[in-house]
Amino acid sequence: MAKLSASISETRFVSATGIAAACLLVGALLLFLLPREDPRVMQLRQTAFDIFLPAIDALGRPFVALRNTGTKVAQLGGLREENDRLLAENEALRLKINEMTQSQFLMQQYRALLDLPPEPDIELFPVRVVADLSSPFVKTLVTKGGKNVGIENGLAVIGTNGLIGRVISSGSQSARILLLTDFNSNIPVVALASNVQAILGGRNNASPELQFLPRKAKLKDGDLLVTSGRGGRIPIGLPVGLVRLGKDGEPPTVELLDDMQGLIHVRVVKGSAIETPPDIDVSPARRKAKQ
Amino acid sequence: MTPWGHNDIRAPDGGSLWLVPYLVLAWFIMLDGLPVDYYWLTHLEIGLYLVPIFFIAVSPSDSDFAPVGIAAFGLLNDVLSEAPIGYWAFLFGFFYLLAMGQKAVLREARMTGIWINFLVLCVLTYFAGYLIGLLRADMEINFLLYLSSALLTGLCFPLLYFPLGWMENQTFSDPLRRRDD
Repeated sequence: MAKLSASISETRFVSATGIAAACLLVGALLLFLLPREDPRVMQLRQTAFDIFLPAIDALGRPFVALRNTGTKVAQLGGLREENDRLLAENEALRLKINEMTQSQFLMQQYRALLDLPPEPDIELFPVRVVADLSSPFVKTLVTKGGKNVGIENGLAVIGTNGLIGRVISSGSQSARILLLTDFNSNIPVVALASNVQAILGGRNNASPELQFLPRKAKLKDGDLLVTSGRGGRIPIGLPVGLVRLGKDGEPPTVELLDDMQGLIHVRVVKGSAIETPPDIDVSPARRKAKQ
Repeated sequence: MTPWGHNDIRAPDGGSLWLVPYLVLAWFIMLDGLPVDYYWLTHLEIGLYLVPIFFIAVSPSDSDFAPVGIAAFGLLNDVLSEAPIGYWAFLFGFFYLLAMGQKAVLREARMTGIWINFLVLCVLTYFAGYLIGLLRADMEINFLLYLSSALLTGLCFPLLYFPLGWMENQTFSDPLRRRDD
């Protein structure tokens, strides 16, 4: 009897290999049946980040501290050059401020003449990046701070010099930012000098491309791209990048103003979103009732 | 009677050391999103998490928890790395199965033999990942960069081989008897 029970306890219905094969099959099924943009998947990711954020943050802190120390030590050698560069930049910026004050005054005059409604104010709030999920197939960041600091889905995010992406999901403690370089990123932009509208689409590399360009569009090399505000979520006029014309008929690419690597702090742009117009009921019953 | 319960060959003094590869695996998954300054590094997908999986797969233990645990960690990596759900779960399982098949071959292999074996399995796993990328419209993987990632992962193997190998010897009453031990 004891022998029988021992042999039963050692009986296995499925071997470890069989279990591994079953897990493999489940993985394959999930991979091909569950779309990446499925709302449940988005929710799952956001919840996971909210749960694991303290651990990711704590594990990453020593590395970030080490990197910052390394950067500071590397900068020590070029302090004099850096100081000279900053002085020159400061002088140039003072001149720019004078020009901008004049432009602002003129703009106010023109707006008053044309009786244009005022543009909504934008609010910027800084958040810290805790994870950079850039890999060969995805370009996203995770920030410490989500709905608890007022971050909502769809808000624009800027770096030091210009737009870097938009918030794709916001949880209680964290938010996920889709970078402009991601394959799934599409931002409406306008080229300032040539006044050409297009969609800036990511290609999973450093330079996104301009899509849906008008057939006879004449872009200029170095033309500044800013957000066009189409869609109503991202404020108008945020600088994005510079147009770089391709050689030998190649499509133009975009040199982004901000470096997407090693971002530690970013700013979320909170503008007043334009509400979607209400759906018009055009059903036959409704039309009949109107008549 | 359950298929999950059966005899294991953990050493009585090994304690909870068998958990170490799983903790290392979790650590690498968490560290995957560390912000880096180097653009070239973001194009590479260095899969250091394959090293603890390799150790789990070739260890003498025949625990049923291992494949399920590895699949669960794969799903966690999918969620945290923004990869399509099932991508890493599939690749982790695939790598685990490949490594399990090498158990007999690696029983008395030298370190270089184990290293080469790991490198070959890495390349095969990354190639499977590349093929999955070809089948999906939302993934664009550069073959050469992905191959480089596999080779770099293979190059990092010795860094983890010694600590994990030592831990394996402490854990199991019947560890792999390698000729260079």
